[in-house]
Amino acid sequence: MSGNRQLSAAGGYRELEEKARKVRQDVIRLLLRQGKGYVGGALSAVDILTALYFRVLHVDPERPHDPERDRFVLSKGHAAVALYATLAERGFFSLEDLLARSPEGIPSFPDMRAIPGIDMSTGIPGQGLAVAVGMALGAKRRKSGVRVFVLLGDGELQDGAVWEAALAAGHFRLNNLVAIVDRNRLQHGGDTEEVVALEPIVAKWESFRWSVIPVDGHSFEELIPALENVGYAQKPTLILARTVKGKGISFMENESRWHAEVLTREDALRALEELGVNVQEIPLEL
Amino acid sequence: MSRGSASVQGFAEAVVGLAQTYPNLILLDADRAAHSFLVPFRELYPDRFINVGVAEATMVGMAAGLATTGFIPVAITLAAHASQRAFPFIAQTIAVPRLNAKIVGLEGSVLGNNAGAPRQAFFDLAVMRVLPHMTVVVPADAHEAYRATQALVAYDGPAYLRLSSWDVPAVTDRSDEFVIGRWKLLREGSDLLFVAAGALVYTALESARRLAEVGIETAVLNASTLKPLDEGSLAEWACRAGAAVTLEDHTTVGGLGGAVAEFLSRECPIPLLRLGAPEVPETAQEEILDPDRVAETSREFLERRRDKHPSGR
Repeated sequence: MSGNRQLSAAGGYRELEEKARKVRQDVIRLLLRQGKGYVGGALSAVDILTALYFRVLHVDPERPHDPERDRFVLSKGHAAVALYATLAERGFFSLEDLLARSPEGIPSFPDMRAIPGIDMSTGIPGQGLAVAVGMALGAKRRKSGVRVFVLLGDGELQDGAVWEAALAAGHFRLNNLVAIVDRNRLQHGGDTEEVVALEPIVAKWESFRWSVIPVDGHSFEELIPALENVGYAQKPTLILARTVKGKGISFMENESRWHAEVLTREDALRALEELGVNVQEIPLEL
Repeated sequence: MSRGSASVQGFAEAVVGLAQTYPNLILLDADRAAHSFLVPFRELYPDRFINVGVAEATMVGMAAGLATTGFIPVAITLAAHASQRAFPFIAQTIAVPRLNAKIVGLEGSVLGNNAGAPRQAFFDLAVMRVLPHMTVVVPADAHEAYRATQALVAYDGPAYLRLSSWDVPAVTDRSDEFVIGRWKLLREGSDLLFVAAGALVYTALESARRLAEVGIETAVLNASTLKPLDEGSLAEWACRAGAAVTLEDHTTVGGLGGAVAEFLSRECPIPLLRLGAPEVPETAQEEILDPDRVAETSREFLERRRDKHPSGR
C-alpha cells in the first residue's frame, strides 16, 4: 500500500469512526423503542457493518434491488438493530421513520419484507451461510461480479448447519464469498469455550478449504483490507474478527448478561451519554 | 390404460423442456443424480445442475440464495429428507420470506416404498401445508406432474411438489390444463364424494365404479393442489353428496384428510371418513390401494351413517 493511500485511508477511518459512533447511538435508541433485543452482539458487530456499508459493499440506497449489487446476509440475525441503524445511516431509509413505528413494527430479526435494504431474512441460527453460498454460486454461474458477505456470530458456529455450508463453499471454490465471524467470545450462556469450545477456529476453517484472516474487529485499518480480499485465491474467505461484546459502552463491554438483557431507560441514557449524546435533548417518551 | 405413469417421470420430462423456456431455471440435487430420471437434464444443462451432496438443508438454503439472485431454483431430494432434514430451512429461508424456489420431494408415498417407517415420507404433506405462502401440489400421474411442473415454474412463489415412483395407470391426459389450486371432477355422483390425491386418484376412480355397481353414485375429485384448497369445488360436491371419503398415501393426520376436515367443518359439516396411512404406515398398502377394500369400507361408512340418521340426510 502506498504512503499516500495509507494517509487518505487514515483520514477516512476517522470519518468511519464517527459513523460507527452514530450507528451505536441508533442501536441504543432502537432497542429502547423495541423494549427488548440483543444489545451486546449488536454493538460488537457495529464496526464490521460500518466498514461493509461505508467502504466495501457496492450498494446504492437509491437502487436497493439492483441485481448487480453486492449482497449482505446477517446470519447472526439477533443483531438486527445494528443492521437497521447502519442501513439508515447509509440512506436506505429514515431511522426516524423506523423509530416512529410501534415496537412490534421493528422486528427483532431482519425481515426482508419489512425493512428496505435487507438482502435476506434471518431468524434461526446457522442458516445464513447456506443462503450466502447460494447467492455466491449464483453470481458465479451468471459470470457476474457480485460479491457476497455474511456475518456469523461465534456462538452460531456451534450449529452444524454452518459446517455443512462451509464444506459446500470450499468445494465450489467461492472466492466471491466472505464470511465474517463476530468473535466476541460470549454467548447467552457465557464464554463460548466453556459452553462448547470452538477453538481452534482458524484451523477448522482452513481445513474446510477457506482462506482465514484474523483481524481486530474494531480496527477499520485491519477490517477493510481483509474485507476487500476477495476474488484472488480459489477459496472463500473467513474473517475471524476479534471483537468485544457490548463494544463502546463501558458497563456493557465483555458482560455476557448484555447478550439479551432488556435496556432500561436509565441504562439507555447512560449509554447514550457515553456515546456523546446530550441526553437532555432526548424526548421523554423515547 | 397404460402403466408406467409414475409422477416423477412427468416431472423429469417437463424440466428438460422448461430449461429452454427459462434460462434462469436451475436444478439442485442432494446426490440423487444417480436416479436415472435426472440424467437427461444434467447432460443437456451441466451448468444448471448442482449436486450439493448429502446436504439437504444446505441445498435449500442455497436455493434461497439463488432465488434472491434471479434464478428459479428447483431443489430435489427425497420427500422424507425434505420434510425431516431440510424442513427448518424450507420454513425460514423459502416459505416465510416468500421466495421463488421449488422443493421437489421424491418417493413421497407409502406405496411401493418398503423402506420402512424410518425412511418413508408419510407426513411430509402435513408439515409443508402449515408453512405460510407455501403452495403444495400432489400430481396424480405423470401427465399431471408434467403440467404441474410447468405451472409451478411459471408461478412466482414457494412451492412443494410431491412426487411418487409408484406406477399408476394414467387418470389424466397430457393435454389437460393444470391450474394451481383448481381440482378436477373426474366423476359425478350424488351419494358420496371421494377426494383423492396422488396415486390414489386411480384407486378412488376404481372404487367409485365398484360402488356404482351396488347403487352408490360417487363423485371423484382429484385434489392435486393441497394448498391452496379448491374450496369452491370441495364445498359444492361435498354438500351435494352429503358424505365424503378422503384418500391419500400419507398419514390421515394433517394431510389431505386433515385439510378437507378443517374446511368442511366450517363450510359444510358432513360425515367424513379419512383413509390413508396410520401413524406408522406399515400396514397401509392394501387398505388404501385395493379398490375393493376401499369400496367396501366406504359402503360400510355410509351404512353406519344411515343407521345413526335413519331419516337420511
